[in-house]
Amino acid sequence: MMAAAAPVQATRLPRQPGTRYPLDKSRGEWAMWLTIATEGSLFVCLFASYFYLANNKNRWAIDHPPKLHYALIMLAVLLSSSFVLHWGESQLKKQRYVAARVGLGITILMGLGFLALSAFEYMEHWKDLTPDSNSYGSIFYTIVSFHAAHVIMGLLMLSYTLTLPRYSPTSRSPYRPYHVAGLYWHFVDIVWVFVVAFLYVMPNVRVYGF
Amino acid sequence: MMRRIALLSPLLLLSGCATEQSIWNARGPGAARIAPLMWWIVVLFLVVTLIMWILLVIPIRRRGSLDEHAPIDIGGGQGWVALGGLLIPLAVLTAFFVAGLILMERFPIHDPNNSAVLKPDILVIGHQWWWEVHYLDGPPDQRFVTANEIHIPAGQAVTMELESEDVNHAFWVPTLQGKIDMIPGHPNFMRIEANQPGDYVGQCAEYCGVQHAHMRLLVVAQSAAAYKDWTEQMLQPGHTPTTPEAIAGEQVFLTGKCSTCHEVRGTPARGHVAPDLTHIGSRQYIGADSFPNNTAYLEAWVTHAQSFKPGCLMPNITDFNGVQLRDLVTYLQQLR
Amino acid sequence: MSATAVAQRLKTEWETPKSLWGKFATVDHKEIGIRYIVTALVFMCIGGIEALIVRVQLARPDAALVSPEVYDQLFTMHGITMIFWYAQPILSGFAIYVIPMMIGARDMALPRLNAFTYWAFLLSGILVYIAPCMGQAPHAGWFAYVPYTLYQYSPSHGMDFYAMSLILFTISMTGGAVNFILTIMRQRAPGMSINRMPLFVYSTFTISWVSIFAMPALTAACVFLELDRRWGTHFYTIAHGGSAILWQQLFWFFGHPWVYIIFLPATGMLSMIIPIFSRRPIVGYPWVAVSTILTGAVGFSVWMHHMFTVGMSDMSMSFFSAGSMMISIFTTVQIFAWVATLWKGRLVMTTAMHYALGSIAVLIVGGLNGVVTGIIPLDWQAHNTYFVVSHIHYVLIGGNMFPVFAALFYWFPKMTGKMLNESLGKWSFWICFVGFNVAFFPMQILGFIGMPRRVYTYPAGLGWSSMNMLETAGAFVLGIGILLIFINVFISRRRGRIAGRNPWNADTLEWATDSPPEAYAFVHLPTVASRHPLWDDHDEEADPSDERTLDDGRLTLVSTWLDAEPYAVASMPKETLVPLLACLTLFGFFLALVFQLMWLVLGCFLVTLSFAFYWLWPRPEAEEGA
Ligand code: HEA
Ligand code: HEA
Ligand code: HEC
Ligand code: CUA
Ligand SMILES: [Cu+2]
Repeated sequence: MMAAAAPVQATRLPRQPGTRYPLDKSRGEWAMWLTIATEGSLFVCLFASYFYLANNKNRWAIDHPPKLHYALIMLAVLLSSSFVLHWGESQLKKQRYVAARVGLGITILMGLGFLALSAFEYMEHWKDLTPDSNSYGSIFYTIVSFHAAHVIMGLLMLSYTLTLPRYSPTSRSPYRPYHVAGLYWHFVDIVWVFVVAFLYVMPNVRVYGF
Repeated sequence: MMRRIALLSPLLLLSGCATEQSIWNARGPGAARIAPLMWWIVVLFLVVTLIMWILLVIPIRRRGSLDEHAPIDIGGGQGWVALGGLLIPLAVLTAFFVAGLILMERFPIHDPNNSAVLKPDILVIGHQWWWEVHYLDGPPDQRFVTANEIHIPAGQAVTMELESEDVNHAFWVPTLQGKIDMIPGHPNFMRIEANQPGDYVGQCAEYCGVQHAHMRLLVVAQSAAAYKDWTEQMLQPGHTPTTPEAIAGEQVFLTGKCSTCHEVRGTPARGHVAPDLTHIGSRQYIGADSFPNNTAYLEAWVTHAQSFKPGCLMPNITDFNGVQLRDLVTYLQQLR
Repeated sequence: MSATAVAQRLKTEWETPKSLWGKFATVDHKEIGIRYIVTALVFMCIGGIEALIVRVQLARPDAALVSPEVYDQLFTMHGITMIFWYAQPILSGFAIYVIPMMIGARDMALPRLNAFTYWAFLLSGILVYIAPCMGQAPHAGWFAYVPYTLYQYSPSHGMDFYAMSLILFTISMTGGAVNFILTIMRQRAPGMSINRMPLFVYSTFTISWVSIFAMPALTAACVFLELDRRWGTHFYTIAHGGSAILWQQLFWFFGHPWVYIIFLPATGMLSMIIPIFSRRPIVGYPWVAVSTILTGAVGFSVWMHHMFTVGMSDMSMSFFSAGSMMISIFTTVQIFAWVATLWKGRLVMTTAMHYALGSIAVLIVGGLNGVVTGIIPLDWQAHNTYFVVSHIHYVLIGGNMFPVFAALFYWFPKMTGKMLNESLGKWSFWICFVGFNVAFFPMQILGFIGMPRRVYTYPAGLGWSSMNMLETAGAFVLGIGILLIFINVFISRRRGRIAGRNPWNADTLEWATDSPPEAYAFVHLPTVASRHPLWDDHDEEADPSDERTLDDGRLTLVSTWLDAEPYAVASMPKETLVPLLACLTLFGFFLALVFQLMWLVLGCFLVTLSFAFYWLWPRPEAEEGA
């Protein structure tokens, strides 16, 4: 015979909520981390395709490895923009809202500068390589353009944050837009580090040595 | 129900052994090595299935009711999981995995990275929906091209290089050897051998478009002497027609559209997008081994290829009269 | 405040207005979950009817019921409909419906995203079905190998529809995965620590992570395909340094995890249903939980077993073969946990239990077939034959369709308040089970005797004819069985026996709600003290001072992800049309891309973007979530 619903000692009773809990403010941040995870996985696939195609014996001819000057300047711009944004966020924590806004504005300007530079870089590159020249051109431009599209998305998020009426602590969503948009921007920056390393620096190292 | 299927299935398997395209009907060392392992695993897994189904059915007799349930801290049953779920499968799977590796090692199917050690005797190029076959053995003047029907000497391993001109295909003759894909830009290699002379049918085994179903394959293994005769014959240019009908037929062939696509060596017909017809008369089948090669089918094929293989790349050719058609077919048939 | 007054307040707070607007604007997970289920079942019927036409064509040799082009479109549409628009969404549907209640929350973490992913799922299905309506359906099989799918060989718009609808589908999947992860990690009832989570929650949690990492490979593959087809790039064109195998790598890197995405939640369902009808806790809960997670993780290292015949190095093949063997162990662990539960329990043979046992029986056969194909030289014979077709149907029907039917019988009372008819249900089970085996068992033999898959017809002399005829008959019997289930649903929804809160006397929290549940699910958010909240003596709703009613707004509790200690209250958004509108413009975006109407593409993109901004804009009148 089985006992019906035999009494069982509850191992650990949960804490009874005594007072009302504060309003949750971190949903957006969690969602952003997951977005970054899946987007990161997308870039992993793109880079994997890049290396896979590169392995494709004797068909992968990078006669002239991409020139480094623009890419490195762009890297500098983007990385410093991350620091500016970080500074802006620290101002936000100190409740210096104007300074936070200024930091955000400068970041956006730097992002725009990045896009302008990448337009120049495209124009220079385009002279001897296009997406339809060969598989190298295809994957190169696809990765660079995907990244540019992410920069544009990041800029849109930042601009959206800039136009928000107020930054003071709020119980209204989006609770922490500055922080959340910032996370995305840092992610976009880090991806560019990999783009520069894999697409620009490595071919040069292969051809010219250190 | 369940038991009936389990009992029946070996019988069904046996009944399948005799058929021409069955992996049980192994006629070459490749297939002959796979078949026993396959047989063992199938039988073992049928037994495992039977045991598992019995294990599922027995507890049904112990009924309970929705009104009661066991205490929630009741334990037990871990042994089942450890033994049945972990240890036994681990042993069985490891054994089969190792058996598979041993088999694979002795198995001459290769990727392009191993091509250094393999000098292909035959190059097979897949097309939508037929096979182009190059015999590469010997000096250049001993090489020739044919299509769809591959002859090999019996009892002798032949190395094939497999490529594709357009989309993916796969080379598969179940009674001789496992399959391997034909992928453009990725040549693969396979060693194939038939123990006895005979005809071995196969099929393209990678979906390649509307006529994937009619991309069939025939390997003919011959005794050494017969094989030598065959290669001698293949090295000849297309037979020069002698009868008046055949001479008229050659004219139809050369002046019609045929020569834009097909080649008959020794004639001005030098098309390269379709099967070589130099010795079409000697083949057993047409349409990539899908239809018998006889007068009726040839006539019908030439005028209505699209009814036999809808979508295939040979058009219906109807711009000649009945006499011309008969002459044309006579000509084709004497191209032996 | 009296209990009814609280309930009344919660009701006005949570209930979707019963108007046309409410229908399109709702963010209620129960409503959305049911929509997912119904839509997926509709897709299953469409895919099933396509399969039946396939079967009729194959019943006899050299038949000409449909032309080869149509046949290719039929099996392709059958495959993608079943795999993408039936098998996963139906599991999402059940998960969306029950998981919030199962973990004691009032809604998914991101309700508007939830509505959005539903619309994206629906519209991606509509997008892919525009193609056959135009006579240009995808026709290259569900894994659409290049080069056949490149413009040169497939110039119609079919493959463009394939690529674009799958990208839209991916967006829906990813959104859903994010939502599940947030819901499960943040909204479990106080006390439902990670080791007390129901196993269905475990499996959904696992596959959500798998989706996050696997779906982008499909997106990348489809983007490359579309660029190659219409924009002159050379990812896959060999003549310009592309690789035909790149597609296979990307597709299967996604594709293999995908088959576990559509399998694991179904095993989770079995892990809920079997213990209930064995009237005891599942044997080896930690074993099952761990194998679920490991299946998801190791699922990323077996993808090349689909490519044993492309010609790879022995080394990489051995690795992926070993991975396939290893992953089988995790499934055997689960299966033996169920079998042990049966042996240690006392069974109640309801229809749900019939389907659960039937699905294990079928899954075993399919899984063992998978092991056969996982051994490299054996796969050289079995690959691309009907043996594989048999494998996929045994695992997909044993590992997805039958568990779903079990779940339907199990949770239908919760969803509608009515019981499904048990004797009709048992009839349907036996008809399905017999029909299924008659339809798909002979395929194994057919594979051995050399019948390749994806052939629109076959010659008479190879000994395949009688078994094909048998399979067709079996498929129709299976179809009738499924029809009986639908009839059962239609009748019982009106006339079924009243279910009451907990008709199965089950142990998880969703059974503590009314049947059908109120929009707010729980008056007092429950707390949990064991794995079996309704079987222990802990009164989860006891809340004398009304601290867990959270009735001033749309609120639910947020707790820590490991121990489920509550630390905040989340406010949930109200009904809104924005998800639907954003989805419609996104649909326009992809449709325009198929036809390369670039201005329309840009326009749709900008409108979608503005909807997104509006979506996230802080609203002063209410406190809303993302
Ligand atoms: C629900 C989906 C699902 C599931 C769960 C599985 C499970 C498995 N699959 Fe399958 N598979 C597919 C869906 C699925 N598959 C699909 C859709 C395709 C085809 C794609 C296409 O080409 O169209 C495919 C194809 C496929 C192939 C490629 C075949 C080919 O194209 O040549 C391989 C090869 O290894 C494989 C292997 C496996 C293995 C080893 C498992 C294992 O996880 C199985 C583990 C289960 C068991 C082992 C059963 C339990 C048995 C017992 C408890 C008894 C005791 C056991 C022992 C003593 C061993 N699968
Ligand atoms: C979850 C996935 C799933 C499911 C449930 C099914 C279900 C079925 N499948 Fe499918 N199938 C696949 C996934 C699935 N399939 C995949 C991925 C492929 C590979 C595609 C490719 O090669 O690219 C495939 C391929 C495939 C083939 C091989 C085609 C080929 O290679 O040429 C065949 C052939 O018999 C087939 C048959 C069936 C049948 C008869 C059913 C039946 O179970 C269907 C039962 C359902 C119904 C019948 C509809 C519901 C009932 C009604 C609407 C009532 C009305 C009906 C009657 C009164 C009879 N399938
Ligand atoms: C546009 C190109 C084209 C033209 C013109 C053409 N063919 Fe063909 N032919 C093909 C192709 C392609 C095949 C292979 C079809 C298949 O099996 O899928 C073929 C196959 C054949 C075969 C079967 C070969 C075999 O081994 O299976 C014969 C015989 C044949 N053609 C004869 C002719 C004759 C005779 C003519 C002229 C009256 C002709 N063809 C004109 C393209 C052409
Ligand atoms: Cu060639 Cu299939
Ligand atoms: Cu797989």
